[in-house]
Amino acid sequence: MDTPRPIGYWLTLVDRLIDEQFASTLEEHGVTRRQWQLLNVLSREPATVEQLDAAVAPFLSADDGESSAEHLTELIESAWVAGTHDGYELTDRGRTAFERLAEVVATQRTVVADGVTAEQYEQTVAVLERMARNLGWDG
Amino acid sequence: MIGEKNPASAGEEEITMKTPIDTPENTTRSRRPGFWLRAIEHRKHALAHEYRTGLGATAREGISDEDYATTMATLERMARNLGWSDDDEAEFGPRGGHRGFGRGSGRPFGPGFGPHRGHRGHGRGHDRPTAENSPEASRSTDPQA
Repeated sequence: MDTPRPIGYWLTLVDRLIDEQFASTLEEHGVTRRQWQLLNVLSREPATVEQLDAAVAPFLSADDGESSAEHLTELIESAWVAGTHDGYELTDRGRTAFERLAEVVATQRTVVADGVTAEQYEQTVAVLERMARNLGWDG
Repeated sequence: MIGEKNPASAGEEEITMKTPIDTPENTTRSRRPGFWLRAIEHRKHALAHEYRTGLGATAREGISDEDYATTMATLERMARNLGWSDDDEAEFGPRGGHRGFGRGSGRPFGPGFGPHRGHRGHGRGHDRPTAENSPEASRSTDPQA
């Protein structure tokens, strides 16, 4: 390739590829990416819908007024997530399913980062965070 | 009077913007709607370019050339690990198509166990609600559709 591609090219490309890979992998297991992210947050501790919204804010469409609540519906109906007085929490069934999914996702992440050293990976994550914050991200 | 002057050259005596419908030989046509629509588009593109350029400089603040280069190389490696190749770009660019590791890439369906019904009706199995109490039994639409 004669002309180096700008970083914006790689950012857009990798974002799309990761999104597609996640969606494909998770869909095979009956979960959307948004649901996976919510399960991830709830696996750490119970949360309110506001806290869930904040945790997945970059992935919600502000234009459509998208909220975590709509993505929780199926999880609740399947008894993976239960409503509490303060918000939502994982059920035992949900935790078991989450742990299975986590194994699958961990394997996928290994594939994505194949050939990248831990130091390069950390550097890249730090740079991406810095870029996001330079552009006004304050999450 | 509204439309007397080109907004891109407000304060100047001569209209200086050159567009397909505004030439030195025929500046009277510049007062027509087509001129201003073209002028607006011209400025939109210019401002968008300036905005993108500014964003790039802003985004890079405080990042060393070495870290920046590492990030570029890592992202490229990740893209290739995810199935992307230079041939994909030739056909679709960074935003287009669904090649490689994405949906429709021909990978076999795995053992599903989640609540999401999707559209394809592929493998579902363990740890799911029974037919009697499954969400879809009482739902007529897919909220994820």
